[in-house]
Amino acid sequence: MNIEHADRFLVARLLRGDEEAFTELFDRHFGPLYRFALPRVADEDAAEEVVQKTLCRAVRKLATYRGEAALLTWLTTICRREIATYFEQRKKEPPMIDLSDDLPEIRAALESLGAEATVQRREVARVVHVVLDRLPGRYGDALEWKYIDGLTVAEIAERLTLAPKAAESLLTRARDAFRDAFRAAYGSGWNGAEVDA
Amino acid sequence: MNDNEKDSIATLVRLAGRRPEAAAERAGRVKTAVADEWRATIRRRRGARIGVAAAVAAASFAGVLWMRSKPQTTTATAAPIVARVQAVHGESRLIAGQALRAGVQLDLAENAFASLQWHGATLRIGGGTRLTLESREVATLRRGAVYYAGDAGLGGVTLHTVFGDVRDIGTRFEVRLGEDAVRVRVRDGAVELRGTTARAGMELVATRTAVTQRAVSTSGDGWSWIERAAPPLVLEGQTLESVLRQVAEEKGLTVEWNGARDVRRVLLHGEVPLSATEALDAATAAAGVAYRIEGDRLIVGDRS
Repeated sequence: MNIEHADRFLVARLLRGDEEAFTELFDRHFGPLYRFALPRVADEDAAEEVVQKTLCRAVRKLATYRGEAALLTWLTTICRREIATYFEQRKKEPPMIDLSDDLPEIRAALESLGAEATVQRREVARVVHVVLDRLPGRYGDALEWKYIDGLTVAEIAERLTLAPKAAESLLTRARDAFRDAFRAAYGSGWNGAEVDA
Repeated sequence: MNDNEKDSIATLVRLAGRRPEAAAERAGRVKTAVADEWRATIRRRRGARIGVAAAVAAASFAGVLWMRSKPQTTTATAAPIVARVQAVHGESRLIAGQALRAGVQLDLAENAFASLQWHGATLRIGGGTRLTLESREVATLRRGAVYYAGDAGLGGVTLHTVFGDVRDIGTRFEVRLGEDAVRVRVRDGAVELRGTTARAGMELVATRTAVTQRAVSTSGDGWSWIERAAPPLVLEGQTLESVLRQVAEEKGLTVEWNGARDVRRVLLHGEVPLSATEALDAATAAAGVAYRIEGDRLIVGDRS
């Protein structure tokens, strides 16, 4: 099932009042939206306010979600409007746009650096975070648990309530999805050797 | 994926560090507020539906409503949810997103197809099929045809038929039940039926007295109903490679690249839901490549 189908399925459950679906919606999207909003409003309280308004507006408008784009993309569009409203109401100018945007903007920004440009470590981190946020299901979490927390496959399986073999399969799919998404952001010329850790 | 790529991903993820999280109390406050808003919205929707339902009931009582009763679904409401409807094509009372509980019997009209999320995978149901979902991993096929596309990591499912139980071993397969026999065609992996194992490209036919096996194609017209039952594909944000992989899975093909490697990662745009065939035409046209199907191979290359 691709992301849009999974999202339509989640929204259908939400519209029927499925409490587990609400938890899934919140757990999956609060973090990415908060990370989207925070650098744009440059204030944790403001980010909280913007994300709360975004999600409240979204649950009121759920029936209008058609699944034509990923749910996170739809929520991000609402979040952009809420950020604009936030600055309009305070008669303030938004800060400069951040590179850690959705994928088309990342691509555009990276292309503007030129093929020979050295990609700054901070920007790599931002792109990695956006890519992890946009991977399906728990792929992003699984990759962080594996490579940052150093969990074993068995420990990841336990967290995901999966059999170890299923967790191993999920990690394989997560790595494939990460590679595809990251290459889409950086262009097909990327390879790991260019990254200076 | 080779070890170098794995190492690169590990390096990148470590380099980036953990994604920043909001403080737990912030998340908790937002969750409470949004949950209240969501529950209020659902209550308003239900109120509106009750109003509509009352009007419909009144119309029915007056003899105005004529129900067409071809596809029937009965549900044991106390049973656990074991599957959800992904997509429905044709005349059916099933709706996308609907939860299905253990014990539910699905009766599809001859002109209907459906796709369910079941056991973490997809189960396609052909026209004229009667199927009972016993649990998250067991179903009983009473007539018609189903196709299961599983994942080796998910553990097996079992389909009961009057001719024996079909047990999968991480696979994609079709089960078609007739009056005199059950036929199992395997696209990928393996299945077992009454002690006989069939692997990819094989067909088992079991009557009451015997089980026979022969080679079959894993693609072609005989499999086309599975594609018709599939949820639509949306190209937006997907790479050409990803779309072609999904199309190939639907059609039982293997993708072969004959040149044109530089466009595999091209990102596609388009928000119209498409069938697998439409997606294949649209994606290759958008990427400026040509394709042809030879046997079980989908060959993609430069336009000559």
